[in-house]
Amino acid sequence: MDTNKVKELMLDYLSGEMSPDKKLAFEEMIAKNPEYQEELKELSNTWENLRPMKTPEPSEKMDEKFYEMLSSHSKKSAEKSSFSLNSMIDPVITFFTQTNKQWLYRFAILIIGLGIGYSMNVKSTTNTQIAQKDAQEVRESLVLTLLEQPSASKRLQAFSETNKLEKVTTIVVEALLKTLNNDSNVNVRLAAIESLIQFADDPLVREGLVESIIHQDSPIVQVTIAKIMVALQEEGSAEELKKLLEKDDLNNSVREELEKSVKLLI
Amino acid sequence: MLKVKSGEVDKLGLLYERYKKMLLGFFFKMNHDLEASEDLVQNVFVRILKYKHTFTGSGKFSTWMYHLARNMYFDQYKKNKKGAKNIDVDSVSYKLVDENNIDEQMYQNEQQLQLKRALNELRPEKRELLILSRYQELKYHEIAEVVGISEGAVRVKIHRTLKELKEIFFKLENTTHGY
Repeated sequence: MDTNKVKELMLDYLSGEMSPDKKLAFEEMIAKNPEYQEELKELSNTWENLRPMKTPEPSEKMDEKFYEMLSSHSKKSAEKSSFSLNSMIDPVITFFTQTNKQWLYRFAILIIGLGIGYSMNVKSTTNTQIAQKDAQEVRESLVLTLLEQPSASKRLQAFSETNKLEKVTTIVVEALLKTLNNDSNVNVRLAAIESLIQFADDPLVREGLVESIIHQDSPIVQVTIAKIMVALQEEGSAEELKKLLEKDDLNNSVREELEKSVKLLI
Repeated sequence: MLKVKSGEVDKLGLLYERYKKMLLGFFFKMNHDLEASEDLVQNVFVRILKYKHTFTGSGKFSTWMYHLARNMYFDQYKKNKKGAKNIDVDSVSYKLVDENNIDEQMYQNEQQLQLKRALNELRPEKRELLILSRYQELKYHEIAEVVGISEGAVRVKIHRTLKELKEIFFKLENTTHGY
């Protein structure tokens, strides 16, 4: 038998990777050959010498570190999947840090070019701004006119125009509040509320909403305003809501809703 | 592991619990530095996350894991080739003084120390083969896969390494008795 083959078999024998019949045949073969016998003995001695060796227990610190790593990884992958701002900025940063100077020069030239183009274009930009301002004014007067219309559907149209406005002027807010307080149609009043909440960061709008509480007689409008007050956490409205609660002709479910809102606000 | 690959990263915790001790044992026997070994275990799992897409599922997970682990060890080893040997023998002898009052323990620790010394004399490529087969109890074909050589070569190398180790034992025996 080839010596290398015997060596391989010896190792199988040592590690126990040998079927019983092969083992028997191997032992017989070794028994006949004193040289192999000696070698196997030495090998198995050394092999046995390797036996006792303690493995330390993993420390708690290791576990801590691992789970920290795992949770931070899960967080990271969650961020990745939800298209974060960082994922957009990162390539730009890498672009600047990693690209060589030549690219930077090209980039600088591009910027200068853009700068010149922009300065030449400023005039036309101001023209556009003026045009936009005009459009805003036209739309505002359209809203005001539509709100004055006798037909409810026309008045509702006013709110879709309001939604297109970027900013509301005091006149528009006052017109919307007036509609909210005086309009005969419930749907129009509700639409007015909806339009107004878009501008809820304007104190004038919030005050107007609070003041209008007492003027409302439709249950649905009353409840809607109460809910908005809670959403805006407008504490000053609690008094107005209480005044409304004192009314005798109040719908029962509205009363419940209002009481709930008042509790939440105080 | 396939679950981890498909994005259920939390399942890595299970793999960690199952293999942490095994891996720590492997690294510790390679370098005898507990702290460094723990860091290496941690890094293996970081790599598992990073390279999870390369795990095909055709082989055993443990084989793949050991493959990453040994690459990690040798990367580290190349980085700080110097100094490691002296430090670990010192730390072992320190422990020895610290823990042993009973003769039996003394003897065992001496044996352990001897064994560690002998293993340390081996080149890490050889030490690794012995550790994988003797302590981590991997089959030769698994070691072949982990290390990237043929199964026959694994056996021949282990055979040679055992012989070399015997020489080292013999040498160490003589020096200790010489004092």
